[in-house]
Amino acid sequence: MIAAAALFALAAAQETDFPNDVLPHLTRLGCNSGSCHGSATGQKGFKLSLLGYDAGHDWRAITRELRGRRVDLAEPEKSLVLRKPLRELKHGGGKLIEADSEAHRVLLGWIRAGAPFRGPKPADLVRIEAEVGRVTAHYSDGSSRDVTRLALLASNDDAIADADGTVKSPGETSIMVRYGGHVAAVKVGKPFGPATRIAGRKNQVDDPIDAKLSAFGLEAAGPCDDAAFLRRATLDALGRLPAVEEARAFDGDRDVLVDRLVGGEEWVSYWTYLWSRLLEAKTPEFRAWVRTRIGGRYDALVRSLLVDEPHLYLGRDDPKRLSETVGQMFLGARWACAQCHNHPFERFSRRNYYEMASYFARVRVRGGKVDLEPRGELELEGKAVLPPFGSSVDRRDDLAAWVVANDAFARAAANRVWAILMGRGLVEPVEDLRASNPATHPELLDALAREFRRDFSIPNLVRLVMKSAAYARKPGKDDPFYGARAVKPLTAEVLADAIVQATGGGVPRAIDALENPHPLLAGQSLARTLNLMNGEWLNGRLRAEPVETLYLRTLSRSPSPEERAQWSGKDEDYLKDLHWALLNSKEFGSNH
Amino acid sequence: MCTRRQFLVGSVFGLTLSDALAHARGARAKSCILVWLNGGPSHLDMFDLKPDAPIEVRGPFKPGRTPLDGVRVSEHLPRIAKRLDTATLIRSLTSPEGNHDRATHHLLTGYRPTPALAYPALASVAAREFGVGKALPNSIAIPVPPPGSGAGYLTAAFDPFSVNSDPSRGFRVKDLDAPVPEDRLERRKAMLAAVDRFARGVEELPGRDTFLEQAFGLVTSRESRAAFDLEREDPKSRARYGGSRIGQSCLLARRLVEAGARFVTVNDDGWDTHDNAWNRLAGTFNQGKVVYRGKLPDLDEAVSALLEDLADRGLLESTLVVVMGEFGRTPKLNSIGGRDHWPRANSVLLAGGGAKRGQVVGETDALGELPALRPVMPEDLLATVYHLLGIDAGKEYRTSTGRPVKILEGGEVIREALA
Repeated sequence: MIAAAALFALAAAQETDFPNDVLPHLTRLGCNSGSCHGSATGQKGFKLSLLGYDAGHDWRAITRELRGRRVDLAEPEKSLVLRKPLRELKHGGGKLIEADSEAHRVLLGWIRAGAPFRGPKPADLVRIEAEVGRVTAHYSDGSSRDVTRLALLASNDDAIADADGTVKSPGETSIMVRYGGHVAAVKVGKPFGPATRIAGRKNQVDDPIDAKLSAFGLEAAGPCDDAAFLRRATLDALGRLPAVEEARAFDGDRDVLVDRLVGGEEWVSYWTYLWSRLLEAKTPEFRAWVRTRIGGRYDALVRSLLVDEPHLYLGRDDPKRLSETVGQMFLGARWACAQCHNHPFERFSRRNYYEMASYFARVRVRGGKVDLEPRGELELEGKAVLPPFGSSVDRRDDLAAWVVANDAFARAAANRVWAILMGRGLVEPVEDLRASNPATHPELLDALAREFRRDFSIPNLVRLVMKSAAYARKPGKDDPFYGARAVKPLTAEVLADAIVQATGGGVPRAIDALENPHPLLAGQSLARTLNLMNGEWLNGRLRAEPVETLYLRTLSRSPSPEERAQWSGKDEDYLKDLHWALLNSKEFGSNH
Repeated sequence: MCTRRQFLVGSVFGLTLSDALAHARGARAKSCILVWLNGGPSHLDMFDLKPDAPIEVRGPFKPGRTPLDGVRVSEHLPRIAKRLDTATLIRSLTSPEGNHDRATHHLLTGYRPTPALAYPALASVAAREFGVGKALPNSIAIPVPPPGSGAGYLTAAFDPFSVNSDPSRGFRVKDLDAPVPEDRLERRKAMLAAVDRFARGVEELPGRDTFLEQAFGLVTSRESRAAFDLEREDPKSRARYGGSRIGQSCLLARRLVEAGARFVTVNDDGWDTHDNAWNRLAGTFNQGKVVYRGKLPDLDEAVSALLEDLADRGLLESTLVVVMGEFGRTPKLNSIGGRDHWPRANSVLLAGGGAKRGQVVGETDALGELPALRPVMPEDLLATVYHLLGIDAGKEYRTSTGRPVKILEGGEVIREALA
């Protein structure tokens, strides 16, 4: 008993290090959250760094500003930093601490000790370790401590689990753990029922998918029929519907179909469109260049885009925008927030942000050409920021080599290809790969990235996914277990092309045009719905053809007996109205 | 506090629970008409004249009387001047953004533009808070929303519905008319329902059913279609608004609000008067073969008619009218007979819908360069508009990445602007 009390007193006496002992309490209490003093403009004249990323700044704000009233060394109890959250004084944030609570004790003890920045034995936090119900901090002097109660925990899906890891309903999510600028994620969840057996494996893609379905007690939908597979595969590979003749001729050999569709000229056109959107390729020259490269090695494409070609730089010569673009396009990283504050969910600081941008510090764009200046540096807080690695004359060589060798590069590409084909990324949002946002199937993302790294071939990766059983399931509930095929709305360009095709028209294709030549708007909206319902563009194309032909043209399948029985009319208006209904249907407007 | 009895009474008049709650928060306005003067209206030549300033600042327009003691506005706005006893004129709006799109984004979202996130503008927040609407969309733009404003992270589903046509010439709302007679439209609707019923495994396509229902509602509702039909307006009443684009747009806005629309944006171009400003504003000027009348007489006719008409119909109490543009213009005249962009001083007119009647809030310094009294930031102005509309500006939305963002960060309601 005595020993415990003595130990407690000793610990209390040592808790005078601002970054390690005091700041975690402020973060835990929410003082430096984005909606309180951590906002860009602070709150009522008191500004702290967001979630405490800048301990030095926060220490100065607390101990030096407002003529020392925030901490009163002569009468520690009178310090504003205590009286406000105790609600002894008016505080917009309300009462945050109780008298004699741990937070109160630590803050008061720290002020009594003279409110120093560092305690007697300063050590830096080097990493955190998280498991369900326990977070451990490890320091540079080899020590560690349990910080479970001080860490910030957030559930990525609070319908499934609470932040403390308590699972509320079947399913899986992760708990994001943040402490002292470090992040980690812990997966939590529980099955829907007893383990199931998943049949129909086709390739290595299916192993992690099936294992998870099985572990969570879920069933998998059976394979879709041949007509559905042909429509799905043609839309995903070529961005168009199968022609009526193709639908009639398909013999059901799916792997042969995939090999035939992927990698050919039409595939190149459609994937140029997809990748041009991602690369923001808005000029004909840029798109034409993507077209020549999309079927080849992706690492070479990116290296060439960063170093040899002007396309990426035109209209985008600010080093900071360029580095954000590189992060987002090629590494699936969102860096933009770090221009102003350290990334709140990632270990990426403002300094890192400027370091990345420094690779473009000497790039100048003049008259459609990229030049390199002999000198020039970015500055952060008045000091030049230099590249952290590499020594090439053209710094972009170093950056490009680093990007394509980066682990995130292959993962980001694999995640994109997966999302295009399967309707959702293994990591969502697709451009937000980070430790605190783990993949639903980490082993699958690793495997796809490993496979991709062999030859950096997008077509090969596409074929691999399209030949899996997971890709070929019947449509149904869209969830991250892939027990059924997700239903994807057609993009504006693909829908426009599909309407042209389903009404007997031909080229030019909207996916090849820079400006959408069709009056279709992107995204679901009232204006788009009205346009498809009443607009001349669609209504002027309607055809009066036999029901069988209309079904094959629009839905790429024959009508079922029930459907045949439903459509009894024969006159021109009737058939045109049916064509209209088919073109406005959910089955037509989606890839399923 | 909303007692059970009040709630029942409210229900009788067709108020929903959220309306009742909004009312309990002090909402005065059921609807809002935003008259947006796109390009940047010149505060110094309209609502904030400086007749005692040096000649290179004051410009040629003379101050004209208003019913308010000591308050003068441009001689070219005599009818609005007469209605100032029903309005609050804010002369001290100030913002840091001098580029059209950036300034518009700031003024209509309350946030400075950032590449990290596109924020939703007022009209989209209204669409989100009021619901998309049944037969009539709840947020409508005439003809399109101002560039720089949009639904941002709320996505296109909350874009205002654009009429995409000029109400002053050959007005026809795009795609509002079905290309087939009513019986065939009904047949199409039934056929589509049947095709969807048979659809194999395609149960859900996000947003699609909502918009389809709304589109059918809009196309088949006589009331909604009538609201868009300017030909139904009494010719005298039509003439009162003037034949200009802004006049007929304001008339359409009134018809839509009368029919139940909650937020209507009238977006008028031509206010970016870098050169030839006096003719552009108050004289005549040629653009190609078309001769335009100046912007000010058109605005004067349109806004005064709108305020009078709303008042005559008993709608002004429940309709907040906001007249403004993205920034003011440089106090010092430039060398080509105009003024350039000046975001640090800007004027706003608020009328009806719970805005205080007959006062001026704030003032600028002697040269109209900066607020000298009661500076108003974009977020303060928006906080006031949201307050009057009963929208809780502290409400948090989530972006696609799950980041929580409040409708507004840090704006304060302009208390003196409230009735």
